[in-house]
Amino acid sequence: MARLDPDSLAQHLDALYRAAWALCGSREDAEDLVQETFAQVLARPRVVRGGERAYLMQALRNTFYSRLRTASRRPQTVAMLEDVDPADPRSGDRPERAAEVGEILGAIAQLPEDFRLAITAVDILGLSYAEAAKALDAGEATITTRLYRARQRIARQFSDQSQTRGSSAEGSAAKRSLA
Amino acid sequence: MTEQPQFSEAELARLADGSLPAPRRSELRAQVSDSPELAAALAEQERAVSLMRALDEPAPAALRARIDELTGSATARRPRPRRRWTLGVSASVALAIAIAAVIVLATGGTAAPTLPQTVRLTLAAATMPAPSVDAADRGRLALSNGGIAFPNASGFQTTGARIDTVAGRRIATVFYGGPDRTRVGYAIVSGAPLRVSGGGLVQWYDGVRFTGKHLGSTSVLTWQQSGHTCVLAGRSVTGRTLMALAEASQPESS
Repeated sequence: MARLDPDSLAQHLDALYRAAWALCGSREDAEDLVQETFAQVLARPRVVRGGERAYLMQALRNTFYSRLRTASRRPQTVAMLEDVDPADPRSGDRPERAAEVGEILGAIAQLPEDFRLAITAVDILGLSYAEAAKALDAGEATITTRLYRARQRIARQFSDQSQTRGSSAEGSAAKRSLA
Repeated sequence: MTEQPQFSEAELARLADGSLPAPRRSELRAQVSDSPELAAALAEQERAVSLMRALDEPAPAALRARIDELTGSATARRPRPRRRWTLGVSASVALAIAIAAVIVLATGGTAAPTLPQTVRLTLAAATMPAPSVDAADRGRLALSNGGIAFPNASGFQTTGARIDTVAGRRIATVFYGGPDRTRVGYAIVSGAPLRVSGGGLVQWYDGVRFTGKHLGSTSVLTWQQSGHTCVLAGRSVTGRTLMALAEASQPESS
């Protein structure tokens, strides 16, 4: 058991951002989710049992659910293409890589929630199975089964995609972000 | 009726990511080598793991700044604990190597140009001078691809062009200097529409479906016109700028 060190949290930022993207399915929503998660975690001193990253995963998941509940009570707004800001100049200059990352994280976001959380915790955040089980309030065997099936779906989807290049993909007009 | 699997999903999942204890790992590897079904299941797990481990998208600078602010103010309120060393650098190097491998595999042998390949052309250097204005139509340039002429748009200065062939398709690109000294590349890819995946913001204007995306540091707008794919892209470019140029490209309604 140890007191959470605010200074050490920044080392988890990149992984947590990718995890948030996998949960939300969009880059901009992921930014909002991560910021809100950090704000809540840092609002008062915390004592952590186990790893910091597992603690952050738990906080991220709780904040994600809380945002979903709040969003469902808010009126939906539709963004216009004209209102879109320029891309972050530090996001990398390799379009191929950026597209692939967006596709993979977007595919995870489409998985059933239990599968999505399991693959995010273990494969994106790098938690052990035991840490993931604790962070997600599930048994280790359950996490492993969900992870197996989540990986199976992702592998099959990307295997299928590589064979069906040329078919068009659908986007959502209600999406605010340009993930 | 589906047959029950003759293996433990949990063990295969652990074998794929390296967390299965060594003695059991050898036993399972031996079983895998004797069973095409097990080998296929393991290959799927390993493929997914390699895709996940190759993800290296960093948090955007603006988010990092906001988090630094939050952690800074939290630190100021508390006694400073001892800093711990991490393996961040070596992990980053390993990830970079993994990513390079995945990208090499992913980009090899595609049958049609991809959107990222086209975007790369819009960011490349011009190889030809700027096309002249079409004498018969001052709103168009004397360069076209697939029957679509590039626009001579108000507020945009043409600076150059290039013609490429990717996967057997002709891609013509014109470069524009936009408002606020931004550079926008406009590529027209002839032939069947390119696949546009990975979400994005979709909007319809006058029956045309526009998709806006960010690919890394590049803003991208794409749509179909006369059966061909138009791609506008640039760094530090707003959606408004891209839409203005896209609008100038649309055929005049009769």
